[in-house]
Amino acid sequence: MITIGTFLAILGAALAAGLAGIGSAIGVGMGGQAAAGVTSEDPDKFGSCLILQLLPGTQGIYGLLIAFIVFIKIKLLSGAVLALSLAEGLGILAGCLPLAIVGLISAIHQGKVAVSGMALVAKRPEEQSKAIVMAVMVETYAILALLISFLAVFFAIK
Amino acid sequence: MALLPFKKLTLIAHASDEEKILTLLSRTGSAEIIKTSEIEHCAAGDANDREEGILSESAELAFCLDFWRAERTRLNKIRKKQTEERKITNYEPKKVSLLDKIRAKKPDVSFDEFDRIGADRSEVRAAYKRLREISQEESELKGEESRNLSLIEQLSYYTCADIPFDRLKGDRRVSVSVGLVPADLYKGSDFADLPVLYLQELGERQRVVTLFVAYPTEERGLCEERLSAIGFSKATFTFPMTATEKIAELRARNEEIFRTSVSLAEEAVAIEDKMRPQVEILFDYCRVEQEKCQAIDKTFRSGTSFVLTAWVPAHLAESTETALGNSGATYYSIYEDPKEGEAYPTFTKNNPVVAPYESITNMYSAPSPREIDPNPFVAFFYFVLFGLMVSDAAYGLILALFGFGLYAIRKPRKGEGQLLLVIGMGGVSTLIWGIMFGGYFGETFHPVLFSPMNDPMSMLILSIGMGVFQILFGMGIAFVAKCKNKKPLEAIFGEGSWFVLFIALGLFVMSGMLSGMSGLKLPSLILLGMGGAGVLIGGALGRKGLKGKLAGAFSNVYGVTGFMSDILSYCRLFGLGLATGVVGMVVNKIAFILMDLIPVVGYLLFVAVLVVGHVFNIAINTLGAYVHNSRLQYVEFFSRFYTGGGHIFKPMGSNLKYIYLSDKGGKEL
Repeated sequence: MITIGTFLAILGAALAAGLAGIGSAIGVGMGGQAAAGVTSEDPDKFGSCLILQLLPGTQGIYGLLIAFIVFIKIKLLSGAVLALSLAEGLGILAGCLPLAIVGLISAIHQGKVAVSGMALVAKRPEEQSKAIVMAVMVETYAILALLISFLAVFFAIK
Repeated sequence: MALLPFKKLTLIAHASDEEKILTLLSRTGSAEIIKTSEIEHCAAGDANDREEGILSESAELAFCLDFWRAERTRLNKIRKKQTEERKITNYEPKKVSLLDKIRAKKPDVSFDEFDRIGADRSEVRAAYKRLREISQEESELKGEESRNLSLIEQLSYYTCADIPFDRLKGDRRVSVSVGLVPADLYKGSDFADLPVLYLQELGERQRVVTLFVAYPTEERGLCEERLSAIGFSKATFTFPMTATEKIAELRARNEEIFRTSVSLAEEAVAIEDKMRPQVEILFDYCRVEQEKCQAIDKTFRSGTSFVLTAWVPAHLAESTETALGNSGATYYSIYEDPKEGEAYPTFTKNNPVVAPYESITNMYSAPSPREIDPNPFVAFFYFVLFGLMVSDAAYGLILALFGFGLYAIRKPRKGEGQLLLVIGMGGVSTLIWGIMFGGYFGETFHPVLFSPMNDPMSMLILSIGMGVFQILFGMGIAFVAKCKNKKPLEAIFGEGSWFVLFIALGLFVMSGMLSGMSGLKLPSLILLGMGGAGVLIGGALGRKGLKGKLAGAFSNVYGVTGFMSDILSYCRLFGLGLATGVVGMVVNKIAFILMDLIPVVGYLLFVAVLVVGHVFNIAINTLGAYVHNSRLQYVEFFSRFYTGGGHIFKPMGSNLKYIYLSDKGGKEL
């Protein structure tokens, strides 16, 4: 039986996977448009652009990770889902929020940096690593949010 | 395992031997020509005219290569579209097996062949000339084709008039013609007041009406005025054919044009099959010639002699000198050590395990020549952290097989394919960490240390611990480097006081937590004070004035936050390590659910989901490990001790695009 608490926990998981996934989709989408532009000028740069394009994709995976941890915690996948109290459900929901919000926004911003990075690669292909490092800088905050969300979800309920 | 020393070669020789010496140096691969410092009563070398000639030849060769690619693409498109009934071309693209594709590399060319092709360019010139003609002819044909197409488009309005155009002339008394008029204007018009004008509507197409018009020649002015008022335009064709016949003729002509241009393209491709290697060799020959010109620009010369300066790696100096001696040129050479503070190129030499990681370091910045070579340290940490991030034994085995396997099949030349080795070694590291964590395709099986999924806190502590270790290690390197450079004060008050501070902090925390160690509280506090004071003094060192010293001291204390954020940055090890396991687990779960849900087909789906899912997981995590590992080296590790900014030794004659120049039979320099 699903209680309000369990519903809130699932809502948290859905927000983490959904919002971070939306962010990644936007970020990777922007990257893809720029990559197509650069590749049309010089097909050899496809590889470099592809790496840059994929960078904002990790937030979506982190969202999936948190959602999955929530499912394991509330035993959703094993068939006997836990009946959480309202407070427990809210706790898990709160735990999911850092990644949901930071994942959404950081992926979009990382996408923007990746697009600029492609402009850099188009002009100076040898500076690819610098473009990558610049984009990876943004991801640090998604990782910190992942850490907090993970710890909160993991230790929120016994 | 280090950065190799260089000698500065100053060479004075007779101008008549210049070409000989430059050619020799472009082949020994041991000399990077630099600008010779100004000499009185001498002029700087100037090879601009010669370089211009070479550049225009290069452009011709580049035209050939581009043209061939375009023609091949065009033929390939036609070949794919053609049917059995309408066979246009027999062109078949060369079939290259996957194995050959992996093995593909620049062909070996001996010096003799290089010189032979450089000396006799008649064949390549002839090929270029013919290709130019083909290109010209093709564009003319293309022009004719599009003119024909637009004529066909115009004529298609007249297919309703089955009368040859040359018969539409009329005579002294009657004028006849056909023409077009916009349907809207024509339909609304009324010519009842002009009975002499005869109009017949022949047909209508796309809101344009084709009209046959006849009127007495003497009424011409009036009739034409009325007709042009409704936008009538007379056909000006005069050929002795109907529109339908003419269209058929034009279509036939276009087909002929198409076939001619295809056969021209086939000819171009046939020339490519025969000439491509020569063109590529000549292209690279031009590049070497261009490098020679740039070398000449850097010399200083009098009327009969010239002075050339170059950096030569010390271990190649002797062989270079021997080669110069054997060349028979008249010259005088000096080899000097670099002066204090003089920048020279970077030449790293590392053992085969460390060497692949040079590519990682060089992507950031090559070491400057007087720095400590960071590559051995980068190699160690990159190796360890890579596995920690991917952290699945099965994935590690696959990556190792992939990296080393591809390298073995490809057999790249020395210094190439380093990324494959980095991936292969990363695979080994992943295998080891995977066994430690008990991760196999996302499932947990008897971990040696702990399973990150079940014990995330341990994983977090391990990640942070790795960060603390690497950062302290980096500071250790800086400490040693400063001592070596005779700046012990900076070392002690810089890195040294931070070390004291960290140790004191550790002791203080321990004394608070462990009851038996409470006696350490006071000593640790004293140490803490000493470390703090050291950090303050370190910041003040080298600053001028009281204000500057104070500012320096406090900005150094602010560095604490830098340490904190750098160490927290290693959380990415935790995040990425866990992500691999979780995504792998998701893939397995989906596969099993599908197998249970759908009978028979479920088994196929089970296998498909597993294969695709795990390949995706390996790919995305390897990319993540590669990228984030690089970042940890560049941002967190290098900021402690490494500046870089060197430029990699690039000897004259190494700037080749298509070939690999070597003299296997001759002496290896």
